[in-house]
Amino acid sequence: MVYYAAMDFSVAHFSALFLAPTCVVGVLAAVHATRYLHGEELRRAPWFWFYFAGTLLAMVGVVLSPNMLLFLLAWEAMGLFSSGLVGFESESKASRLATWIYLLACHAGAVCLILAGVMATRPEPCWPAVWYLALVGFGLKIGFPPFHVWLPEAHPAAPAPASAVMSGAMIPLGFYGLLAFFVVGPMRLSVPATVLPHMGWSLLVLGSAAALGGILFALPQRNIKRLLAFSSVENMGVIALGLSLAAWGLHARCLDTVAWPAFIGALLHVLNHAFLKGGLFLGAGSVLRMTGTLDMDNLGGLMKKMPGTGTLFTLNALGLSGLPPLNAFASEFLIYLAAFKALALGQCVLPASAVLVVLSLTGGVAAATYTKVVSAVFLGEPRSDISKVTETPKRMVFAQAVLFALSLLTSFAVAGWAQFKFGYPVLTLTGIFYGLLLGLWAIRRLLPRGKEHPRRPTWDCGYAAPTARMAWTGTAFSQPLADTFEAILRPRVHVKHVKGLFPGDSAIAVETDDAGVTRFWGPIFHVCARLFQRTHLLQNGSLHFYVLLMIIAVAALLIWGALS
Amino acid sequence: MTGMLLNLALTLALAPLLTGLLNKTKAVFAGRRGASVFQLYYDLFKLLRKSSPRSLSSTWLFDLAPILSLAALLAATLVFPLGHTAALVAFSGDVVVFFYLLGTSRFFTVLGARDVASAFPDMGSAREVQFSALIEAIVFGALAFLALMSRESTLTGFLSFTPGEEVAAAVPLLLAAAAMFVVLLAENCRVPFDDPETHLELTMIHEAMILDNSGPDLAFILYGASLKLWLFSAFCVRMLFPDPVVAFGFFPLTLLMGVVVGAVESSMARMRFLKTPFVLAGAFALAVLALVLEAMAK
Repeated sequence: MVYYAAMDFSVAHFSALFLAPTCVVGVLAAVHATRYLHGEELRRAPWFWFYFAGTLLAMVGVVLSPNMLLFLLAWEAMGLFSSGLVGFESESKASRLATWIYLLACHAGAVCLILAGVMATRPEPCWPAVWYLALVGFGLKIGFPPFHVWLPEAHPAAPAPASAVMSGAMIPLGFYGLLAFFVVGPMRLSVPATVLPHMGWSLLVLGSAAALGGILFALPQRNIKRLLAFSSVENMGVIALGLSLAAWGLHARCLDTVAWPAFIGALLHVLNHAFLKGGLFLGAGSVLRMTGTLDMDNLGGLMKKMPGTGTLFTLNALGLSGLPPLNAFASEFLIYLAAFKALALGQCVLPASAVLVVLSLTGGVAAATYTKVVSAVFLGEPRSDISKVTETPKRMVFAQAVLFALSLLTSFAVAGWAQFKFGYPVLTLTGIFYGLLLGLWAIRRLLPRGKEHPRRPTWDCGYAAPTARMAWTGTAFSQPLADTFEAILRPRVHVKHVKGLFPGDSAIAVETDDAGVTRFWGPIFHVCARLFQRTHLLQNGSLHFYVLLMIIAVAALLIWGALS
Repeated sequence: MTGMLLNLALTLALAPLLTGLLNKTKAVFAGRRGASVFQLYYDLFKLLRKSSPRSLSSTWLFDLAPILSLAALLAATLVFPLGHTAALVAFSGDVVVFFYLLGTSRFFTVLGARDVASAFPDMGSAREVQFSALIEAIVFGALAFLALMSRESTLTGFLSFTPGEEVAAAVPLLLAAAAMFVVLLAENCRVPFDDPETHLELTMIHEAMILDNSGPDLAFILYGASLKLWLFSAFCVRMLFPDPVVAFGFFPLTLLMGVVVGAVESSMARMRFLKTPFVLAGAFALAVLALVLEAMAK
């Protein structure tokens, strides 16, 4: 039985949904990149453009491939070209390490996908195995924990426009692959409905881990792009939760009430995340270009110097926290709606409750994370000398403005669609919100002014010489919430204590490492390395020994041949 | 429609009175005469006539934060079922819009506080985002229970019920209501989470965040805070009392919540900040317990 007959929407639309972020973010990132590359990098700019164009081309190829062979070729090309982008600043050790990890992840993923493809073409395939192999293969691109380890390394290393494309448009292609293999399109395998619970459970577990883990590890980061990379893991988790709920809805035969809203919410989140995260990465790139650092604890007060970039970054951050009235709220709303509908019907209670709790906690931590970034980078007083910083060249702001305009357009389009097609008065509500905003602003302007006061320094309990160092840094701001989740985050704290009657310098630094590296892959690779050391017995450097091995091998083959 | 608008107007007019009643209750418990229950109205009118000095550090976010924050709260009020009527704007999933609009409001309050580059608002906002993140999970745990119990997907449906025959069926509801009461205390910066009375900035959350706001900005913020207290009180009232009672007693009962909260605040001390996450974890456990009991009963 083909269970997805009801979800048979046109292939063209389905591909277009993933093609749109690729093209839009790709083009705008290119516009941004024309001014982002500067100084020493300009010399190698042709290489950048070569890899950049190659990556985009391969991504378009992935989305438009009509069969699995072409798909896998394009998929592989996408990984290779983009690894060139990750390693673009190859002088730095971090960049080389990131490229290495990224290539490893790409190829491990490809191996799993090829295996899945081979298994699926056998006469009586074991469908759950195919699903799990494909899940690992695509999960390595999507960044499900513990396969996410390449993300927080690759994004800070790659140039910002490349990060925008990779985070906004490339990693969701993993979902395209899963959907193209298992749900719609010409590559669709004839999967029996018995796989649905496997899909539901695995996406629920991985999605929860990605959403919560991603945002929790994003929270304490100091590097803006590393934080954004972890936040991408979170958003992929949200999409996975939506798809999981869709699978459960199909399983419980609640198509219109549960499966559709969740499915559409997940797909819409791909688009919303692309626009918003693309904008945020470009904004981070602009900050790096003008100030030379991505370390939030040394930034601050940039809003006055870079008003365009700062305002757009703030609005994008509001959007990506999933808050109304911006577009990412619309997609999260649909997933919530599906979960509430499922509970109201008394169907799939456990997954629906889990999705509700995980999504809400994720939303809360996301709001904390994004208020942290915005306030640490753009608000307050500068923590380093930024007197020479100016607004970026116009076209860098332009690229972000267009992305934000698209976000805004999406939010209105979705609200209108929900209102006129399904009778949800959300467009009215959005209108009321903006109306209230304008009304309050007008009231504020019309109120009697009272006595005019010149601007003065902030009142700090009457302390006469406040410095920027007294205000809380981003790390300090996130510390209370990070401490609540200390058991998961396990931060490394370096303290230089206050000593003596006339204390000298004191300092504290907190670093939060990626648990995927330190607690999962690190130990595994360590054990592997120890085991593989044993194979050095075979590689002892003696030519005679190698010749002996060859003779043994040939003899063994001859005997095997003779016996069979 | 007229009824809805009337209820909305009453709510907007009475919200500061709830805060006044709360403060009066606390004063009576402390053996003081206390300020008039209408004190907040006087304060608001006074503030609206004053000017708002600005810091050299602040940007447009500080200027606009009170407006953005209040607009989100007012929009949330439209989604909430006030009195005996349904909400003015009601649709499936409106409950998400309600709580996320509160989130938008908080987002801008926090950014406004961080904009003045002072350690006090920074401290308040860091604590605010800490608690609010944990509160989200409690709220949606309780909402999951309400959806399962009421078999509805709108806020009006969640909060409208007629009492059943079985007394045992009320147990999960009481657990969830207890969780929501803890949320009320935490969201509105009440003891044991925060002490709005204290003038020592180190122990404050909400008051510390708005130290640098003055004039109409402060009026908007104070009014927003009273509206938020009203909405959470009304949420608890509608959870605890069945429809027939709510139909004619909504406004008195909601105002009575001010007295209840005041009594609760007066009977305990503020907790150490390091301990408060455990209270929130307890409330989360209550919400989940309610959900599990309800799921098993069905």
